[in-house]
Amino acid sequence: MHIDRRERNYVIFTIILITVFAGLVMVSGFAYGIQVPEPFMEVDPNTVATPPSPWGAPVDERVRELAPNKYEAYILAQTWTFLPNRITVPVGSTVTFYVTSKDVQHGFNVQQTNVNMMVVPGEVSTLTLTFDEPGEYTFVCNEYCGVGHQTMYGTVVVEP
Amino acid sequence: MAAISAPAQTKFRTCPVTALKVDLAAEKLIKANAVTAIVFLAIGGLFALLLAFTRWQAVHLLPADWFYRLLTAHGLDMLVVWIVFFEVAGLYFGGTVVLNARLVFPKIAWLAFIMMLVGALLVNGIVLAGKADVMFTAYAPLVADPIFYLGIILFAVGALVAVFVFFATIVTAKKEKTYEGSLPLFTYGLVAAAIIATYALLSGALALVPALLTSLGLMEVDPAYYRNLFWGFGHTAQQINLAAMVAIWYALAQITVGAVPVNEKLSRFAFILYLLAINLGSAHHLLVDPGYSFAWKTFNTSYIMYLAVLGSLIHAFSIPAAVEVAQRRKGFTNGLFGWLRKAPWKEPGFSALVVSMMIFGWIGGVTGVTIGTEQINMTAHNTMRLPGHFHATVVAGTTLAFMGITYYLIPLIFRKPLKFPRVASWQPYVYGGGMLIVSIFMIAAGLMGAPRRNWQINLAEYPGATGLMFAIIAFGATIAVIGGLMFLWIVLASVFTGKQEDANRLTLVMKQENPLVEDALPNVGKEATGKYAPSGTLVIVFVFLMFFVVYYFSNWWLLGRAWIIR
Ligand code: HEM
Ligand SMILES: [Cu+2]
Ligand SMILES: [Cu+2]
Repeated sequence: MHIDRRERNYVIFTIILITVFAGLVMVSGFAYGIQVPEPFMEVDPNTVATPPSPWGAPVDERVRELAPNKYEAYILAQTWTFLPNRITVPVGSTVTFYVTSKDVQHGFNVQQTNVNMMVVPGEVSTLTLTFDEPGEYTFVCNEYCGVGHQTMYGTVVVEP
Repeated sequence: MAAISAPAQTKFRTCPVTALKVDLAAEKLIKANAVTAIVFLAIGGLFALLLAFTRWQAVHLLPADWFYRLLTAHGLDMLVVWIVFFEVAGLYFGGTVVLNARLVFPKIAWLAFIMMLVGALLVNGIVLAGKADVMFTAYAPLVADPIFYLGIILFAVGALVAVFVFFATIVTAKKEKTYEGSLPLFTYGLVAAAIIATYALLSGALALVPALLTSLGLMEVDPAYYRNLFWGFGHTAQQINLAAMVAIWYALAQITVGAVPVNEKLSRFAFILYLLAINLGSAHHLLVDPGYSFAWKTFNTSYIMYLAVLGSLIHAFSIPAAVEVAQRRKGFTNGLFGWLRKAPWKEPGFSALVVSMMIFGWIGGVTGVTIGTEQINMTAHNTMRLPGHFHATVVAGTTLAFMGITYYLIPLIFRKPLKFPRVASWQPYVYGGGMLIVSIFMIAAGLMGAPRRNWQINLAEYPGATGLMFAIIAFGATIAVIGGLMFLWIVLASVFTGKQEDANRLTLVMKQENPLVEDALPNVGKEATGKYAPSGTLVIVFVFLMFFVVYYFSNWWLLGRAWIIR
C-alpha cells in the first residue's frame, strides 16, 4: 500500500506513542505495584451480614487494629448506608478496606484518594490507604443504587 | 413471504443531483427513521435541561426520584433511541441511494421500525411511570419492571433486523452490479458499523434476557456476569457510533469541500482496526471491579483498546489532510493555513465537521484514553469526569455530525429546500459551543471529586469551586439546548412546510465564494505533493499529539498525588 510520506511518519509516531502508553500501565503496575482492585474473595450476599462473617460483627467491632497504626475495616454496603459509616484512626495509620454488599451494586470512593472501587454483591473489594494528614475524609457510594443513593456516605476521621 | 420484492416491483425515482436511482420504499423508510430519531432527540434534550438545573445545587430543580427517573430516560432516549434510529436511516441511505441500489425486504424493514418504535415507547412509558428508576445500565440485582427489559430487547431486536436488511441490500447490490469497483468509503464505514452492531446486540441479548428473567422472578442473574455482558453491548455500541460518525465525517468533507482521502486504503484499514478491537468493549468499564485480575484488565485495555485508538488517530490525520489537499487544489495555497482561512466556515456541514472533530478528538478522545488507563481510572471512575468524557464524544461528536449531515439529506431525500439557512449556518457553533462548556466543566467537577448520577452532593465535602462548576454546566446546557432547538426548528420547518422540489445540484446550504464542489474532484487519487501537500495538517496533528501527551502525563502526576498507599 502506498502511503504519503507525511501520513506514514505520523502513523509511525502514533504507534510509538500508544506503545509507550500501554507500557506505562505495565511498568507502574508490575514494577511499582500501583494496582487496581483484584479478585480477593467471594461471599454469599445472603449470609454475609450474619456472624461469623466479619461483616456480621457488631458495627463498632468491624474496624480492627492489627498492629500499631495498622487497621482493617470491614464495611458493609447496603441501600442506603455504609456500616460502619464513621471510622476513627490516628494519623499515619494504614487502613485496609474490605467492602462488600448485601443487596445491590454500590461504589466506594474515599474522596481525593485513589481508593475508588465497585462493590458488587458476592465479591469483596479491597484496597489499602495510608492517612498521612489529619482531617475528615468523606467516602461516598458512587454507583447509583436506588433513589436514596445520594444519602449513602460516611467519614474517616483521622485524629492528629 | 411477500416482502421478497423482485427488482421489477421496486419503484424508483432518479435523483437529479447524483443521477442515481432512489428506491421510493427506501426513501420512506429513511424519512420515518430519521424523523423519529429527531423527535426522541428533542425529548431527551428537554430532560437534559431539567437534569442540568437539578445538579446546579443552588437551583436543585427536580426532586430526587424525578432526577433519577429523567436521568434514566435521558440516557436511553439519547444514547439508544436517537442515535440508533438515526443510524438505521443512515444504513438505508448508504445501502441504497449511495449504491444506486434497491432496498430488499422493505416490509421487514418496516417491521424493524415498528419493533424499535414500540420498544422505545414501552421503555419511556415504564420509566416515566416510575417503575424503572435504574439508569440505562440497570445493574443487576437492581431490578426494573419486566416491561423495561422487554422494551429494550424489542428495540434491540428491531435494530438487529434493520442491520440484516442492510446486509441483504448491499449483498444484492453487489450481485446486481449497481455500482462499480469497491464499496464507496461512506458505505464501507457503515458496513463496519453494522458488523460491530451485530456483535453488540448479541451481547446485549446475553445480558438483558437473563435480567428480564430475573425481573420476572424466574432466575437470579449474577451481577458480575451482567456487568461484563452489559458493557459488551454498551461499549461496543459506542464503537458503532464511532464508525458511523467517521463515515459521516468523510461524507461531510466530500460534500462541503470536495475532499477525498489522500490514501483511501489507509482510511479503510482504519475501519478494519475498529473491527479488530471489537471486543475491547466491556473491560474499561470494569477497571475497578473486584472480579477481574490486573493482567486481564491490562490486556483488554491496552493492546485491544489501543488498536481502536490507532484507527481513530489515522482518521484524525486523513480527514483534515483530505480537506487541506482539496482546498489547496482549488488554489488556496498560501502559507501553512491559507486553506483553512478560506474554508467555508459558514457552511453548516463544514462547521459541524470541524466542531465535531475537534471536540471529539481533543476532549473526548484524549480524556477517554486517559481515564481508560487502568490505574488512572481509580481517580476518575464514576466521577463527573465520565459524563464529561462522553458528552464530548457521543454528544458533541456523533450527535453534531448527525445534525450536520441532516442539512444535506433534507434536499436530497425529503426533496424540500432547507429553510432558515442562516440559522443553520450558526447552529453547529451554538450547539458545539454549549456542549464544549458542558463537557469541560463536567470534567472539572469530576477532578474535584464530584460523583456522577447524584442528586445532591454535600458541597461542604468538596473544594469550594465545585458548586460553581455545576452552575457553569447549567449555563452551557442552556446554550446547547438552544443549539438543539435551532436544529429542530430548521428540520421541522423544512420537512413539514414548504413545497417539494428537486434540487438540481448537490445543494450546499450557504452561497459559496469557493469554486464548486465538483471542481476539486478530477484530481482525486493523485498524490498530493509540492504546494498541494497537506503540511498544515501535519502541524495541527502534531500540536494535538503534544496536547494529548501533556494531558495524559499530568493525570499520572495527579494519580501520584492521590496515591497514599505504602
Ligand atoms: C443539550 C444537550 C445535553 C445536555 C445539556 C446533557 C446533560 C446531561 C447531564 C446534566 C447529565 C447528568 C450527569 C450526571 O449527573 O451523572 C447527562 C447524562 C447523560 N447524557 Fe446527556 N446531555 C445532553 C445531550 C446528550 C446526548 C445527545 C446524549 C447521547 C447521544 C447524551 C447522553 C447521556 C448519557 C448516556 C448520560 C448518562 C446517563 C447515566 O448516567 O445513566 N446526552 N447529560
Ligand atoms: Cu450505594
Ligand atoms: Cu449509590
